[in-house]
Amino acid sequence: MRTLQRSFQRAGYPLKYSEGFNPHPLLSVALPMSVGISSDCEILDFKMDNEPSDLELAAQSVTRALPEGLMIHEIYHPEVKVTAIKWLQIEGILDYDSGVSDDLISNLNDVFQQDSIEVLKKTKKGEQMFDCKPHLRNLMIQPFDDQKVKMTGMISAQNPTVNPNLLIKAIPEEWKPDFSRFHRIEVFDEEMNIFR
Amino acid sequence: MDSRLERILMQVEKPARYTGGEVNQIIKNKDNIDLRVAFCFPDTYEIGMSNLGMSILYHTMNSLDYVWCERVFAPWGDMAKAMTDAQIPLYALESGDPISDFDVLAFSIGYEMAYTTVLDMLSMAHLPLRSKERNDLTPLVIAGGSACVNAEPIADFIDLAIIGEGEEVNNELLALLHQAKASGWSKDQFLRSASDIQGIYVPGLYEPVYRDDGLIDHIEPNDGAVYPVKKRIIQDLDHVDFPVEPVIPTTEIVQDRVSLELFRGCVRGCRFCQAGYIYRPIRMKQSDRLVEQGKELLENTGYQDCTLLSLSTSDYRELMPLLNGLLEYCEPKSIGLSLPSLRADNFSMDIMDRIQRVRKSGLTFAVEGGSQRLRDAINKNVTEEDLLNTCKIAFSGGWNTVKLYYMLGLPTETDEDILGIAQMANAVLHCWRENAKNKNRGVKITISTSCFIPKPFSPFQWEQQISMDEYRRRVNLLKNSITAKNVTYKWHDPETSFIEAVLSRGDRRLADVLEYVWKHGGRLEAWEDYFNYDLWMEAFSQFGIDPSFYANRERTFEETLPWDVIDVGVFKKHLWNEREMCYQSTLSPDCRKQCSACGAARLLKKGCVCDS
Repeated sequence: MRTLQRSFQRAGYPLKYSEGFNPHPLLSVALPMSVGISSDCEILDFKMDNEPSDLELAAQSVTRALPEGLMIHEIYHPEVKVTAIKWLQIEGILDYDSGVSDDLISNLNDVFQQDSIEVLKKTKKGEQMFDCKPHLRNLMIQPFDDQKVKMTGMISAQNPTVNPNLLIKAIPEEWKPDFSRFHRIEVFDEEMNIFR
Repeated sequence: MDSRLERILMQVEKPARYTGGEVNQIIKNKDNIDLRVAFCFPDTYEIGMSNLGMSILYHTMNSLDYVWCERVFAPWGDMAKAMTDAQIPLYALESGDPISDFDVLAFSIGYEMAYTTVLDMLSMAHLPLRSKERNDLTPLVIAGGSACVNAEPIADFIDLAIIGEGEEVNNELLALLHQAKASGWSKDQFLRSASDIQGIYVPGLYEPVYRDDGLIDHIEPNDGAVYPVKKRIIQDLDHVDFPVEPVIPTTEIVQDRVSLELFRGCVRGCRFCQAGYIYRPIRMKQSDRLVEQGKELLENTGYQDCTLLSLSTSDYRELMPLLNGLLEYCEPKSIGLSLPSLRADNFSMDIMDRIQRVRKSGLTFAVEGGSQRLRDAINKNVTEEDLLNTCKIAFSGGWNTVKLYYMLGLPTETDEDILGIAQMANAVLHCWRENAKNKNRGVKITISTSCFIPKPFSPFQWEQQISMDEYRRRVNLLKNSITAKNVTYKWHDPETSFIEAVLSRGDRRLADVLEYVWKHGGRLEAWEDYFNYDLWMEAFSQFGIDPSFYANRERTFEETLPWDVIDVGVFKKHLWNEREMCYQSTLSPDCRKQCSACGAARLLKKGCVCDS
């Protein structure tokens, strides 16, 4: 967050600060990300001190001030609240160091075709059993190369949040990958329209 | 970056410490470079990236177009283990390349407890630890920083040390290495030639000769090497190369702010303080230059805080114009200014007005001695009246947190002096009751003590450190005399101070001890999480070394000290005079009131004076 805030400052587009005893910049990332996740579709909700007329120029300037690997696609005035974000399209690459066996792919797909997929989820109240199935759409595993498989589909972004790590947790020990990395592709609303 | 790192980074704490990729990092094309330098800071990323010296020298070394200087920090325990298990060698952040292939490994050493981490980083880089075991010209292992004024404990591990300020001498060394590489010089040829550059100490050219009683008889320079080795200073701080686009960490570090260095050296001459002596002569930066640099830095970084650095900020002559100039820029942008290192005796309403922010952090003052008599003896010219006056101003202005730092074990200290600390705390509390505007918020007074460590090149370099048991006795004495409930007493453990005292005035006979401690897991010893006192004691015992010989023994003026090979400017005789005055509880005037011809002015160009 510091990085984002300083980049706006450096680019000449300082953020607006809250009032009161402990002012902080008005900036929030709509969908929190855990370490290791990459994304093409993060939504940043923020207020600027002096709104510029040329938002495209602002996006380019702030991008230049950001560290390598971060960029701003677009800055726009929202018409909908970020609470309307419902679905997240993801892609994961799962590593199998000893190789991808023939039946691995079908076994993995079977896991996610089940009517219910129960995993132990950590919540504020402790750990609870959580059924992921209603909060997934079109989850599919395909071959990628001889040591990796690709997982694609939609997961619930909010209410509830499905962390991709839960999907890995749902895989039985014998078919668990040695490592996985996830990428966010796009965000959608309840009706499956692209959220902006 | 090694692809195995992708998996390791997901398992370790704070992985952003190990990735690089920050804004303003310097990336050069490997094919156009002749010298690769690994700038190694023997502590974690968060500590090293907060170090102004490192930021300056990273910039100045990279200004040479044939040099690529990259940063390396010590991995935390979990990462170090994961890297060692996977056999991933220590790598530089910018390129991700293993540093064993670099031409120079340059260590910045600010404190003695970093020595074992230096060894650990050499080992993680897959290099032999001892200088004698590295026969090729490169990689060259060099060290700089304030701990190098006595580099003897690590003399067998490094090829050379930089004494003093590195902005110019580092580049002269790199230019010489550039030439040596091109001409095919041997390592010995290069080191001999390097030792002719002022500020470069090649330990291999000097041999300490010991007496039967274990003291040093003399230090023998070989092959015509210069004796003593004179330190380097930057004469003109206004025009020396200074980075205005520092690397901006992506993750949180200790000092997330712009740092402005106001001046080097100190006019006060407090007798326990090594820094005040080794950074003489006093040289100031002009306030308009600082305001200019400050603005540029804030614009280029986007930081919301700026800190003014020096050994004694309230002694900076142009402080008001500087504050005014900076505030003009900072106030409308809600950028905060902090001034650490303020003296307890000249905190004024003016200064206070200017550094006030919505959030008031606490005030900290280094009082050091509990009674006026002791403060005079250590030349810390602060009176109770001054301190209480400062507290009065602070309390009426709304501050309600005050920290007072003291040392226990200072030369000539008595129990009466220690009880003076408790009396002072009561006086401060009383002052709060009389002057605070809003008493409902309460007051927090913290007394903090640490064990005095005699340091090389200070007037107390001949003193003994008190034993740990004696320190604990004094702590209890103080603890029992503090009765007020809004006064908290925190004391540092004496074990770290004892080991630091051994290393600080150590000699080459400690090399085996350092290697033993490292080999048995010693690293990041400045951290409580890792410091292992028992391991050090085991190491001393293993090599038949009595650590008290270094820490608790009083030296005589006639004794040859291990660091006599180095000349930091101030005459040894001057330091001894100051020590004598301590035993008479006599103050010395500060440099502005009266010059005592300490000797540091010799380092300035002809016709120049200190503090102008």
